[in-house]
Amino acid sequence: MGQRVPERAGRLGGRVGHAVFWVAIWTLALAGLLYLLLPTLIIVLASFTAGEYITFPPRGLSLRWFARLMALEEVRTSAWRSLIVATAATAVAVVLGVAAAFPLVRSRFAGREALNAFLMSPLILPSLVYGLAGLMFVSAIGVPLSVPVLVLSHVAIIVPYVIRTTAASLALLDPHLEEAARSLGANAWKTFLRVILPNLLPGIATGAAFAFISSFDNLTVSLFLAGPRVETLPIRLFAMINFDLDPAAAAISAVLVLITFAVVLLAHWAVGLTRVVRL
Amino acid sequence: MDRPVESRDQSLSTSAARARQAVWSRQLRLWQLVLPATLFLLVYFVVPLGMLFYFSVRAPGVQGMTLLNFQKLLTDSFFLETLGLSVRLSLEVTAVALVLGFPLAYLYTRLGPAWRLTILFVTLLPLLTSAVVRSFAWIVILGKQGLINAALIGAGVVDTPVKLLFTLDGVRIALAQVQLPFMLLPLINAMERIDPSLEQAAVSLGASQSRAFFKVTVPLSAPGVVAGAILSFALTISAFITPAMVGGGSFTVIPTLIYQSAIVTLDWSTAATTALILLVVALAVVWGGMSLARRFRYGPESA
Repeated sequence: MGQRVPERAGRLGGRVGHAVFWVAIWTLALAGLLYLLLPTLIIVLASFTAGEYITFPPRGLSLRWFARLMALEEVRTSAWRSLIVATAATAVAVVLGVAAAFPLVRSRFAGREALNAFLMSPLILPSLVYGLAGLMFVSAIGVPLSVPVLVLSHVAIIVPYVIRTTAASLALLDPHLEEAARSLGANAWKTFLRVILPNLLPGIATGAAFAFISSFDNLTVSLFLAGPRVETLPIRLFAMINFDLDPAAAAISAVLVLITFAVVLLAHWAVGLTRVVRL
Repeated sequence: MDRPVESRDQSLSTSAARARQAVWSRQLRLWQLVLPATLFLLVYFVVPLGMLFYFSVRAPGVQGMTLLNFQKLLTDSFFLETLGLSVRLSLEVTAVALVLGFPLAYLYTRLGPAWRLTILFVTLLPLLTSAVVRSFAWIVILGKQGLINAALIGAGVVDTPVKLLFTLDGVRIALAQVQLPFMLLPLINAMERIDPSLEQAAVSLGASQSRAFFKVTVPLSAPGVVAGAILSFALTISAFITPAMVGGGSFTVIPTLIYQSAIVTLDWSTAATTALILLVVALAVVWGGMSLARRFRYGPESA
């Protein structure tokens, strides 16, 4: 009898401890989720303000700042330029990256791991450092800063995304599919176009989407390599926010968030987010 | 890869040796596909980094290589203060990201698919959002009439707005949000590999839930903690946009120095030297973290 009291107290303490533990975990986790979401939410809501300044909560709701975007010549020009740069850089990165992914997954050769690490290294190097190095390189070979120079520098930093997602899809592709196609009489090209490529398309699309958004949003490399006459949208936005807090900047931001949202949805639809995070 | 090719060739009554040769030559050609990307990065990535090194060992009036630039910076008290601030800021931001990221990653492994998808979505959206946009959002949130001050004044905690924008505290808050996804993803990957029945076993053997958590789950997720911390530290110490926008020039970090000497004062030797010192500090942390992770993986604790 005497022993049961402390035992029950221990069990009660355990239950209280259990509850305290889960309350603490949930509180921190929900705080983390809110923290992650807050800036995106605020900037989108703030862009609908009807006031002259950016405030939160917004003063009245209107689409006036989105309408003003259309009237801002510099915003239109820089957005168009960013679109061209990102599209061109993504196209080059997809060609280089998809080709490189095949031997990295399917061939056995000495130094394959080292080569893989080398091809991934632009992901680790701070983009500010790459921007500076790129500027020194371009001026050493005497090429003036221009859109093609900017495109190539973006390719260098986005090509790892394409290699990674393509290689991941390729690793999951059953080699017997190819062999079946070959043994049924398809040549190498036909096998690639009709069997391999369709199966890799979700992975390639996800990598291309990540590559596109990284190029489209890039500021640090462009600050060094765009030059004064090649203004991209992030450079314009950076200037608009730093020099005058124009509410049109919030409208641009909301549009950029929308594009990012589309990229995440595409990745989810193509390969599933649970697989994306394992890349 | 060779088996069905062989069997097909056997059925066509050609020799297995020829089939093997065919596969071999295909492999040779396949190998070449890696060349365009490799050559491109050699020219457009490795050579520029070589230029960086070249500028760091050159000084006006000095023939050949010199360590003068490094000597000048590493004896400059302002530079050392800036380096110290950058390192401290990165450690603090990494710690905040870890404290908020760990419980979220832990819950991720205990919740159903709908919650998991929500967490992943909320993690990936800021990860892929432009750094300029995120910093701008923090300017709106941290400002005098921003969300935080409105909430604090509304709740009667303070009478006058707290200065957060253009301060180090504001930059800490903004950077920790930026780094949280980079902490979360390695943590989730590491924790998903832990068998949940290990913690249940500890509880059924009499450990409290929190004891089981700290004695079982926390040590087993050490590889994820190390990976996330390395990533978060390396990215924070090289972050330029957020300190520039949210800090508004109220203090200087290493990336600000690089940008100023490269673009404003056009002193490329100093810019290159600063960039290399930044890389060395970041690499030292990566290397230290990786050897720590190896110890966790093979050490007696990992049994």
